[in-house]
Amino acid sequence: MMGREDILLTVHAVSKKFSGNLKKSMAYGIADLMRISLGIHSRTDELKEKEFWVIRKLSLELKPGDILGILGVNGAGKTTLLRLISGIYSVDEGEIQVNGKIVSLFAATLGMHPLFTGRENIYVRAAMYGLTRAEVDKRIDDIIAYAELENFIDSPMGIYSSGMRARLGFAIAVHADADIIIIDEGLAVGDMGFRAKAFKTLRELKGKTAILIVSHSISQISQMANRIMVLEKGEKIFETTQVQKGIDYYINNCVHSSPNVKDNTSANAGLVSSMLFSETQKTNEADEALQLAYGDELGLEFVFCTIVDTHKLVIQLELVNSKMETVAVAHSDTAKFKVRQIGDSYRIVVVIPQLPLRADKYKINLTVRNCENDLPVVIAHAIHSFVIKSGVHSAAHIQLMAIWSQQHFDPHTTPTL
Amino acid sequence: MKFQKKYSARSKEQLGFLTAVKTFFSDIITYRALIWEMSKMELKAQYKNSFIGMAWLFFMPLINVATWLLLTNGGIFNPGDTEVPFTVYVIIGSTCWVFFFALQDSLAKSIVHGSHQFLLSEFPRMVIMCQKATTHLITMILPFTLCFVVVFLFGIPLTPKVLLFPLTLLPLFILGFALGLLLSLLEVVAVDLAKVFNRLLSAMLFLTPVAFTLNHPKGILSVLVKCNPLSYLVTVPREMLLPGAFYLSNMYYMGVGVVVLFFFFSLRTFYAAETKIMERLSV
Repeated sequence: MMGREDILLTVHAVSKKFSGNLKKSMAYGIADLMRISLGIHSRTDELKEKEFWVIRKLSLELKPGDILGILGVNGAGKTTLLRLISGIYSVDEGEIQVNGKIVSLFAATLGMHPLFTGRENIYVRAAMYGLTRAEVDKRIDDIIAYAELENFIDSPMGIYSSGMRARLGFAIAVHADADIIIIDEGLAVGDMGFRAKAFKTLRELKGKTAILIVSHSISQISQMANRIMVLEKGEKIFETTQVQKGIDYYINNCVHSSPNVKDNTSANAGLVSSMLFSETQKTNEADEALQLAYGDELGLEFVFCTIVDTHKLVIQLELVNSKMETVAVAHSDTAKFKVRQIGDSYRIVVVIPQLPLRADKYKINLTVRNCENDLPVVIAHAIHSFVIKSGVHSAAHIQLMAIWSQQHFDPHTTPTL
Repeated sequence: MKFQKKYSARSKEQLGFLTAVKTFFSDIITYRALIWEMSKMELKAQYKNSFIGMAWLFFMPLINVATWLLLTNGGIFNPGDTEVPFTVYVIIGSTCWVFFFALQDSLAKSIVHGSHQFLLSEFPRMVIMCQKATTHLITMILPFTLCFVVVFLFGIPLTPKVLLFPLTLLPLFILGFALGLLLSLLEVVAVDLAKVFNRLLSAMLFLTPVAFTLNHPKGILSVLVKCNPLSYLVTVPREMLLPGAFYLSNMYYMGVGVVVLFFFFSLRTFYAAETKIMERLSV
């Protein structure tokens, strides 16, 4: 059983403010410098002109084994919170206590020099994590092997691709004996194979390490986290140990209500490409709406990738009208369609033979779920749109495609109702 | 625990002078490997893509010496009475001045030039300052060696007081370091003020007996030169390389005292304010 002494991180009622105006910010900076140099204290828990709260009265605790996924739309305060925990920003209110070594993956290649070899850079970057040269000597072969850079390690880093650099940075970070690992905005480390290895490593570390992961990417969070915290405008609005519940809360309360949802492209993480097509038109652009008539055929071809090793994926397409109402769904299970795993990427084509919808503009949301744990692998909102130009403008969303006919009525032979 | 940390709104601002000094030495010990690796990297990086490489470290001071030789032999300067050839006098003086000025300049610009690293580094920012100072110390080895070569070539005998030379350079180093720390913070939030300080410090060269003797200036300039603590901090190390008795005046002791107090003040201010100032970089 864990006691207080096992807590690696305590964030207690922490607040942080920023100034939205550069000149004011600099003026406050000068005032702070003068005040601090003279040992004069001032209140930091009040807002000055043009200042606003980025984080407000936020508390959390992390113990070994915790993988806390922090969700929030742009501007929710996720990155600021991580920087406060890392000691990069000062706290304006409250207190943060760290009982271990923090390794941040948001700047894993920081301090690495392109003119120096990968090997030379390992020594510098590892020293930044507090490792001595002797400690690096002991683990350098493991770092190189992990980064899969045996053939390039003595070449200047300038010739490395961004993926190779990220791999090396990540390899050093996971060999740095971290107690708390901070991952900001996804784990963009190389190709899918290496990403899967990175996820596996982080999962294996979780016994003695706590991980804080911040991302818009619901799929990444769902695959890693065992706790969820949802932030909105710098405040914690939801926290749970039930990952699915946390993700549902975020989708229903933040993603759908956010005016930035269209720009929130990271929410579409996992979706590689998509194309919407009809008999006569096609588009790859989310903004370019296909012009259709009532009853037209509509097709969607999309590619997604996931590191989840499963055959039990289900796909759902949602058609959402201009009032943000879901008017129809197409579900792979209903059609008894089985998704076959061929590598890490999947190319799926779905065709809706006839669209029985009234005239309106519609957006398509795509969800791919892993049936084994019901967690989303891809959640992509408004990936495409189309307009039904002609049709009946009735209140009903679905204009059923019935087969109509008329027959001769003979009152003597035809039975009446 | 080695990595135990606690941050609150007041924790840094309430930092005392002694705690600041303790933290400073603790940072140096904890991150000595990083300081050394980063210093090596910076030095090598400066010359890595040059054909003559680190030979530049030798050529630059040599060009400096040649320039002074040319100017003094051409009779441009009227430095007053010096007991040794003026070329030797001015080369040692200017090297001491560069030792101080280049250090503060390197530290002062380090935050704005390396803002990304400063903003995102998990290790204490003081480590980067110490690395800059280490790089500067290594860079200055050759110019000081050249001073000895020049003294030797001019047939000036070295006396036992030469052993005190490194020690007498220490106040200049500490002053350069302390000024650099404060100016680095000013460069972030008060660019205009930092520029003014930079110009004033450059102008101090003309109020410091680098290319003239301490007693040579007349009138108001004489007063200004004699009130300038840098006059004594530059003159005393030079005297250690030149013949004749040396006299550590009260002004020198006062200068050293002021430097030490200023170092404490600067160290404490940097530790207490750096996070608050540095976060303005991201606005």
